[in-house]
Amino acid sequence: MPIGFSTGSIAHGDFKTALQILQDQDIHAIELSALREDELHPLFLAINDLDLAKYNYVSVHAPSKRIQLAEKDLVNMLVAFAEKTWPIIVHPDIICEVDLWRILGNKLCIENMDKRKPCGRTMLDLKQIFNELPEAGFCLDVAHAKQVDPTMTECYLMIREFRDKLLQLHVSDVTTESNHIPLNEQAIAAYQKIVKYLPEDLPVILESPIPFSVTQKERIANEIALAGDIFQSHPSMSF
Amino acid sequence: MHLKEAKSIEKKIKENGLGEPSPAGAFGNTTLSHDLVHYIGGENDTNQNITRRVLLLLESEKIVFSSVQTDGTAYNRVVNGVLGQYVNHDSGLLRPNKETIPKFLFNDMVRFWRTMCVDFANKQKDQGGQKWAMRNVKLRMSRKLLFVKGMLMCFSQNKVHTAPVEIIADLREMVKLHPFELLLSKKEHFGLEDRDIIDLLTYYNQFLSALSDPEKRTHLTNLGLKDAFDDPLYKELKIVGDNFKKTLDQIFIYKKGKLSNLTLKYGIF
Repeated sequence: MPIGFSTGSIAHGDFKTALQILQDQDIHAIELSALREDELHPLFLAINDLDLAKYNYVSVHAPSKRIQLAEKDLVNMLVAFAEKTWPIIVHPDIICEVDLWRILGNKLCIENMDKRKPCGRTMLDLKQIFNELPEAGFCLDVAHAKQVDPTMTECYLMIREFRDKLLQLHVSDVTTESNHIPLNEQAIAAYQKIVKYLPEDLPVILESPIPFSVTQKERIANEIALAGDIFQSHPSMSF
Repeated sequence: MHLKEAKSIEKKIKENGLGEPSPAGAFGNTTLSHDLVHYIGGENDTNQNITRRVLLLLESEKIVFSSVQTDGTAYNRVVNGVLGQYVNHDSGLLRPNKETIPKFLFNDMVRFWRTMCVDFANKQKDQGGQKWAMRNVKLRMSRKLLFVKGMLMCFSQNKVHTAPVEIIADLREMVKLHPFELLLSKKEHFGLEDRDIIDLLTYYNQFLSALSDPEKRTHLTNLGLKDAFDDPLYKELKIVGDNFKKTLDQIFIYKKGKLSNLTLKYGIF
């Protein structure tokens, strides 16, 4: 499973700096983060100028909230990323007019949500969403799933039901306040319960926040190694 | 917020003329999921806690307050948490290549059934045999049926287990089912005969018909131990209960098959 990082976890709102920092790291997957609405336009403008040669897998994280952009305009901007064949990770609670989003086809990638959100938190929630957007793919956020159900049963059910739709994983841990934090023993133990059910070639995108510091490079490398230990050393099984 | 919701439920129950929860207080109050999940066995696992926890698995239903929360996420989390404790701390399930049932869960199901039986006798003692008949009929029919569901849940997991999450997911699917729905869904698995299932449904229907008649219900509720065995309605329902038990005995004990094997293997020692 190729390991990668979300740019937003490395340099908040600054994908260019994040890409520079990650250039020397042993990763071959990247998620370009435009989590905030004002981050999307700069990314949209830079789309053809980014040096992404080392990455076998590229995805984009769409804004988690709409503030100024109309839904139609947001989707139109995202089409440009879909044309690059990059999956576009979307939080289902920003989808109001379902029909608009169908244009993204199988590049639309729905992420399961944490407990703050009104939808998309469980397998049944997601089933309703995928019924309306059958072509969409699935980004499994294991930390969100663990927060919703610490036994990881809900996560297992999501994998069992939507394995064929899986396009990538989000990996980190999440606090009770729903803030992402780096991997820790408890999270690792939880994820080991479900790793064998995941497809072997599924890209793993780390969302562990590792902001700039003198030890940032080392901490990024450690996080990649931890993720590698969890996700790269288990043979996959089918249901 | 929880108190507000609890009061809202109480109000709805009264407005709809439904019977109020147990006067002994096992229900009709808020309870912490922490106690249900973490106090299984041991000194903190009170009669109330066992009752609430096991009935969560055997006959609970979620109430959704608003259109925002569509699938009872909190409910699922608690159910998964309870099942997780039973499964993750069952040493028998951790042994590789060994066919077994979730014994920790099974033992608690048995303990709950015996607790209901003992509590019935305790109430008889405390209340001098008053209002005995309704409690007796319910124990022999609806309470027993819940125990049947618990047994089926555990016995259906008799296999070599590879992963706790799979067991929890399977058990959780069964939590949603009415005991008869579970029985029917496991008919092929356990090799159950149509005749036995039809008989159980028939006897249970006779029980429900009596209880849904307001006059009969009131009569039974007020009937004490002293007068029960001479009462025509009670005698009729006693026969229904006897037949219900005989059919269950056949399925779980006397007829050769998976269920009787499992009862013999796990049901006593």
